[in-house]
Amino acid sequence: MTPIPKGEPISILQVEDDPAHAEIVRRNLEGARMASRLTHVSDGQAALDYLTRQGEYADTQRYPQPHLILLDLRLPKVDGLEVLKAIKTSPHLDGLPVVILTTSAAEADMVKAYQYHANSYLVKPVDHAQFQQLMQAFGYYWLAWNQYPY
Amino acid sequence: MPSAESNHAPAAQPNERHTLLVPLVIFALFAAALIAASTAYYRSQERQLRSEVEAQLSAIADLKTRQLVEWRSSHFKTAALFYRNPLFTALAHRLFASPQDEEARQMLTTWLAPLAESDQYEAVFLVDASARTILALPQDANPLSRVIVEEDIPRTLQNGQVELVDFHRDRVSYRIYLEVLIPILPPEQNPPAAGVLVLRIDPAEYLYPFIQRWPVPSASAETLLIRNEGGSALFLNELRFIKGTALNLSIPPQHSNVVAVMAISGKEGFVEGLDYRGVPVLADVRPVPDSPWYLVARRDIAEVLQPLQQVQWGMLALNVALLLAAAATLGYLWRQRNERYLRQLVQVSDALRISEQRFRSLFESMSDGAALHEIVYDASGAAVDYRILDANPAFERHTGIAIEAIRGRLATQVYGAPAAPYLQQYAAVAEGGEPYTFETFFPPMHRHFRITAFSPRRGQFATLFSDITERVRRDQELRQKNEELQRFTYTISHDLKSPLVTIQTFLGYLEEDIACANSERCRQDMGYIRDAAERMARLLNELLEMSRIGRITNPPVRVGFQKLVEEVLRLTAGQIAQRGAVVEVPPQDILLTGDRPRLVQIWQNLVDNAVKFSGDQPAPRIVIGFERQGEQVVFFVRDNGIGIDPHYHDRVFGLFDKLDPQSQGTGIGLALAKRIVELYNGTIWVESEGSGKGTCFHFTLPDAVSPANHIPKQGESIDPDTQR
Repeated sequence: MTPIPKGEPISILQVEDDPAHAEIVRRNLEGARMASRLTHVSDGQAALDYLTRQGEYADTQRYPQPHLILLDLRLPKVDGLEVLKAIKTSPHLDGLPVVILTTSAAEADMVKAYQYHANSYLVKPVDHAQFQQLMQAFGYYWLAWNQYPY
Repeated sequence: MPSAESNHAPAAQPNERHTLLVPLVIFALFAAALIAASTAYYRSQERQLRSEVEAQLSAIADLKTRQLVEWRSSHFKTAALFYRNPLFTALAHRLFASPQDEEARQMLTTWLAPLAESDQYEAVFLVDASARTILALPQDANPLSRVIVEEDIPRTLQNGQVELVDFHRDRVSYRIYLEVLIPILPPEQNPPAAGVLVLRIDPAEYLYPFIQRWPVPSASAETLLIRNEGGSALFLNELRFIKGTALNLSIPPQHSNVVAVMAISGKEGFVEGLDYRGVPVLADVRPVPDSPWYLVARRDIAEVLQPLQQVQWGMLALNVALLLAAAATLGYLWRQRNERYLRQLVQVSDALRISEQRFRSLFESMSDGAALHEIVYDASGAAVDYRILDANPAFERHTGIAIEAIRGRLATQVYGAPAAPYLQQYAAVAEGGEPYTFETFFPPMHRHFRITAFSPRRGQFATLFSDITERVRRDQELRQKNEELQRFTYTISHDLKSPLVTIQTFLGYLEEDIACANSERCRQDMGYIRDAAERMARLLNELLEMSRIGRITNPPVRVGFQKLVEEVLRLTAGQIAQRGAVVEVPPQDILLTGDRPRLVQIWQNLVDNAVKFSGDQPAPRIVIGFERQGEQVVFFVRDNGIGIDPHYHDRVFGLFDKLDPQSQGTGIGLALAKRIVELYNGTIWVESEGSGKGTCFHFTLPDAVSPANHIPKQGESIDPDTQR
């Protein structure tokens, strides 16, 4: 992992298949005004391609190296847990913090996610205000407080 | 199958020979005791009898001996009347001097006549010194025996003693006589005497009868008089059982067991030995004092023991009777016992037979297969195979193997396998006795069985098996359905929750937008909300659709393939036109039977899918047709769209597994198609290399394709509507 130059915004890769949900996150992070760059892919295969710089994702300018991954679980083509597992078992990528953001509160998913070494597990609230709070907290924690290797 | 008790016969069958021994032993002991007792009794009786006889003989012998002594002494007393009697002597001298002296003769005759006439003496003789008979009374009496004249008289003349000459036989008359010789001597004068007075005794007159007389009637008793004649025993009287023995029969001394010999050898008293006939006798022997005689009073032992004979027979009869009685009793008891035992045996045998029948009928009629086997061991005692002893009809039904074909054969032969199936488990059961149940799939028959093995007897095992293929299949189905349900529920909750999140969140944003009067944002956000709501609606619809597949079915109709495709194209006309796709349908036709709307749905979803995933294809082409592959009819829908990565071929039919998140729909279409295909017992699969190389879906509908299928010739219609 390349160290983040000081002052550079935290780059987040969002893997989310529901465009509405992607929009919610984007608006929140934008509104939070915390230094971040948000890139979005809508299925698991694309996420893996991105991280391994396959195909069009070889372009590092357009597709910056993410410092944090925001991962939904139910994804087309390649399931979210598969993506998580792939990341956490890959020698180049296993250092990347992965935060699960999903509608599923199922214990099975949670257990599996942690087993695959997810760094955090967040459940999308069915409430506008709560979602905002969650995103705010997320922002504070992961963008302001959490340290990334330099 | 007989119960587990069958390896043991009814309550301990006794060893016949063994228990027969007991009564035999008892009988033998009893017999022995009886014999011993009776023998002892007999012996004691015998002893008693003998001692009685001994006493008797002794008494008789004693009596007779005394009487003999008396007899002899009486003769000597008589002799004493004349011996040295001066008067008699003077008279005798007168007659010797002058034999014509009539007076003397007369006086002597008068004197001697009573003697001659008495029973005591047979004749009386007066002989002179030259042994000439001067006077004989009776006058016609047999003359004196030569031996008397020549030997005894001279001796008496010389010694001047009275002498009793013992039994001797007269050579001439052949009669036996004894003589009393009285020398005629004046008193005080020394011998030789002038003459001898001879008193001749005929023992037959008195002596013999006396001797032979036995006080009690007896068949064999007699007394004998014997004399030691040169060591041998000479019999002096006529014997009872042999005639002509008096003074004739003598027994030499070497016959020491003859009682006569015993007598002369000095034995006195009660003896047991042989008599002159060689017959065993009891006797009393004793010397007659003052005489050369020995007296033997004897009786045959046989006669003595005669009374005992009766006792003997009586005892024998009693013994036999008792033994017979004992034998009969024992025999009876034994028979009773046997009968009882036999009755028991019959009872048990009956019970067993009934039980056997019961089990036999169960065995024959039960629906589970049952078979009895025995383990086959090799030389080292390891189980190597098992032999089928018996099997019930159900076995045949389940396995399709005839009972007669397998009875007595080895498992390896019957099942054609190198090793007998489940040998180790069965061997363990046959030896350990613990029943063992397991479920297994039997490849040769493609069926699942539940097998219980138990051991009715060591070395044998019986199997009960039921065909659980149905159950297994149903279980599998159930499990599948459950899993499906789980995933379904999980998916649903997620897929419902997701749009809800959207709706709620964007409602919030909407409020903000209205507050800020940001109409652009407003529209955008309402769009999101609407989309989400629509998604939920669609989801619910398709859920309903899915559940309906199993429940509501329309009655089957016959419809031609071409007609079906026509309808499908009508329904999808809009999308096809919009995309500008071309549809090709080869003209073959085939008759299908089934739920028409459902069948339509299969093609509809596939066409739908083909249109949606035509991608950037400028000339999208869809081919709908079927082909025969052996016995099967395989339908296909081919497109030249974006294709499906082989990686995802499995997931394509999964419920809600959308491969392209951008596309419309919830991904249920293909799953629905699969569901319907499976309803008709068919399979559906996809061929595609992915990445723009098109896709081809294949599927079969065995239950819809009628068996006697008629592929119509070109132009021929099989439309049931047009058919008559």
